[in-house]
Amino acid sequence: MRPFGWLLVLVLAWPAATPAQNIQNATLRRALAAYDNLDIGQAITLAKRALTERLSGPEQARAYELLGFAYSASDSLLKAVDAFKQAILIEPDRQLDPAKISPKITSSFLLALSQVLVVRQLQVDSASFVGGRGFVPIRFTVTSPARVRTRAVTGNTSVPIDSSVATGQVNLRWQAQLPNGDPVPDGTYLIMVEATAGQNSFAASQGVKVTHGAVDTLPHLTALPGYSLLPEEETPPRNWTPLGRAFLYTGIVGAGTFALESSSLGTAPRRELAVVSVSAILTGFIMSLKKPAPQAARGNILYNRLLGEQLVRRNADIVQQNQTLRRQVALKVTPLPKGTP
Amino acid sequence: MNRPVVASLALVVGAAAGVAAQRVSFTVLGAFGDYREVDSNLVYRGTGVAGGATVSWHKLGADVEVTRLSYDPHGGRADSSFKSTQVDVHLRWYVANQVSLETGYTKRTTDPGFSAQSMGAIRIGARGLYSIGPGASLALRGNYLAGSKFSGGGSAGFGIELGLGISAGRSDGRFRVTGDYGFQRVNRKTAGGGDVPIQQSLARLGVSVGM
Repeated sequence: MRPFGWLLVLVLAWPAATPAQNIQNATLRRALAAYDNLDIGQAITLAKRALTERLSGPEQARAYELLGFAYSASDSLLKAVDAFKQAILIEPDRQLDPAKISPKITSSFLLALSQVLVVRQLQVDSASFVGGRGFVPIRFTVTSPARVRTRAVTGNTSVPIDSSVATGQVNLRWQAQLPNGDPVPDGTYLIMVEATAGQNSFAASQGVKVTHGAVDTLPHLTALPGYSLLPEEETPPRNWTPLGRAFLYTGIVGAGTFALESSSLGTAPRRELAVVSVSAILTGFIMSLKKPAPQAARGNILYNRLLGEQLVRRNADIVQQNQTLRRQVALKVTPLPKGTP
Repeated sequence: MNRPVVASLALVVGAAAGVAAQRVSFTVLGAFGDYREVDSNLVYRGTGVAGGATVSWHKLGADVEVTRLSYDPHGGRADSSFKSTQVDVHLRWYVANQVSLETGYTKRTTDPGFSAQSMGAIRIGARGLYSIGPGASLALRGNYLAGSKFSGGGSAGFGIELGLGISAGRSDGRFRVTGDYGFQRVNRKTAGGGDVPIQQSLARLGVSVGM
């Protein structure tokens, strides 16, 4: 490769490198320094030597990745792919940023990804739902076609979640139920994804905590929303009927008295009739001025009775619903941080 | 007080005691009246007191009223006073629209006897009781007086009674002011065939207590 090509590869590869200060192994640090100084041959030699020494997992992955970068830079594609495969097997979630890494290295990395079987980017979302009425989203990526079995494991108990042949992005919904339909007991679970293709197999896991809670019950209604009781008594408008009736009845009795009086007995003074008639007319006048007494509003009473019956019926339904709700369990599933046992 | 009065009072009070859950009221009234007999020269006016009891039970109702008046001559030939005791009994059966059919009897005795005609008659008629407001009502009454008997003998082919009542007070009926007007006209004929009409106007004002 021309020197300009080397420089371009290294410059584009640089941001993806693990910071050298995190590397404990001196040989690996020297290999990284050699790569930085564009001494590709020295970088490959030192990286290989570092891999023979005692390295942590991330350091091993970093060493293989450095080899992948270096082989790619020296146009050794097969070796680069092999090195990247090792890096991916050690750290399946390792990613290269295509915007920052040269296409040559990225294509080697993607080629390596397609040649290994790993489960990457396993992610379990937190969720809260009533048992049987919700699910926990689970996402992961399978790099090559494989039989993928997903299950939740706690102690000796293993709850199957899914089993299928898949490749690429996989989205699952875990209802957090036992095979008999009951919600899983609360506790800590390991969501295990096992991919198998021929002799190859790979497993990834994510811890989750399942907690149980009571399901909220419905409150009893004191009124139907949107409906209100109507007054059961209504005051009729003021009118002059009482005075009119007093005049009418007084007139009838007065006329009757005049008509029935015996002419042979002379003209009676009629003071008795006058006193009672005046009393009647006065009472009628007062009653006409007085605010009428409230009267039962039959339509409103029937309406209120209907509302009451509806309310009783609705509350009976709520009682039944609450009985069902009290038998249910509210599940809260929270993913645990990576590395939590 | 004679036997019919005592019997009527006993009947109403007994009914009131027996149906305590129903409406029972007692009334005390002042009364004044005008009494005429034979012709325009025999005119009396008087005042007095009255008392009564009313009981109602479902569609049935009963009143007993006793009115005692002291009548004095008011011009003409009349020259002696007398006391009148009138007992009115009303038995009602509610029909519809505030209207009740009514029967009963009226009996008026005078003391001393023969200073005026004592009489008794069966009444048959109707009463309408109309509410004109909270705790206020008007009553309109009309009765035919049948089978009239007189202390001086004779008979009456025609007798009629008109009444107007007013009552106002608490809407629960426990205390009310009441007023009542009654007009009575009887065409008495003597055994000899002579016309001796009797006419009385009576007004009563007082209070009633219900329970």
